[in-house]
Amino acid sequence: MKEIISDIVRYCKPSQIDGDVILCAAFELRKKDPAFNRPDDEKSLSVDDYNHYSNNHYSSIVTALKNRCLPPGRNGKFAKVDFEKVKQAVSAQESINLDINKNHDSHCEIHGMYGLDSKISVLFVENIEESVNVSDHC
Amino acid sequence: MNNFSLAYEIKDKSFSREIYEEKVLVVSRDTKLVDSDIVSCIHTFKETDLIKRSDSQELLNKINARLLYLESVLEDDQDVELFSESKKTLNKFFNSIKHIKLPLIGADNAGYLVCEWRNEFSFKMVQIRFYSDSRLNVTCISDDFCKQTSGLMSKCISDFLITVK
Repeated sequence: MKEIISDIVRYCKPSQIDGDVILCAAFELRKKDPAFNRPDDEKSLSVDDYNHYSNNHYSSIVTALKNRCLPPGRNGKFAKVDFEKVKQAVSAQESINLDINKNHDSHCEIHGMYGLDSKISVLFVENIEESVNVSDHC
Repeated sequence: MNNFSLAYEIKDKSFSREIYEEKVLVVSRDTKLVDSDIVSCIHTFKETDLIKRSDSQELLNKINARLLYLESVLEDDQDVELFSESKKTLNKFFNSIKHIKLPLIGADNAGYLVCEWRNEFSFKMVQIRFYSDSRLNVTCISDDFCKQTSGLMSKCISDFLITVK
């Protein structure tokens, strides 16, 4: 039976935060950029499963990101999002189903956003439950 | 006329050919907007009190300070060159408009600058992404509506305004 992942955490770059507000751009898919070894558009959004860890959630995610060679910037933030609410809103508005698959440890990928990520990014931002400074968990 | 309008006011009150040539993508399920609608919107545009009048130099100072900060916090996978080119277009944009509320300003994953207005102009989100060579992309999103326009920003645009009829 597929694991239900209800709370996800997205690392938001310092350049995607204005004051304390996280920009929708933080939840958009990367476009292809051959100069950065990205020959294709990104098709899924990379996030972490908050509940994969029973405690020290954010510091565990910092470690997980470092293990994936994606160390988060100290000036960045983690946005914890109610994924079930996003999924419901996307289903109601777009008649499409987002799917989330767990890869390794807490790392998950959200599928179904491609081509609509600008619009869906707003729904992610609207359903941020909390945002915390990375620097508080390093 | 549907519930969306995108309006540009040109200095000489004529309309740039670039505006007519803009590529329009309509994502909405229920609403279809065509070029002629945009032209109609341009003709019917009137400045409304939705646009907060502000001192434009103060606005530019805040934007410049923000850009300096953003440049200093770009991450390794964000392209400094793209950021730099994007900055030229953004500066041109904000130097050509008279009054607009200070947006949230950031950079996307590639390094292109992005401005976002939340719950302004009767939209949940209005986003402008700035590319090189005076090109930009405008995305307007409400609950049941999403529209994107991409194209060249005319050098002679003095006002750029998005409002709702």
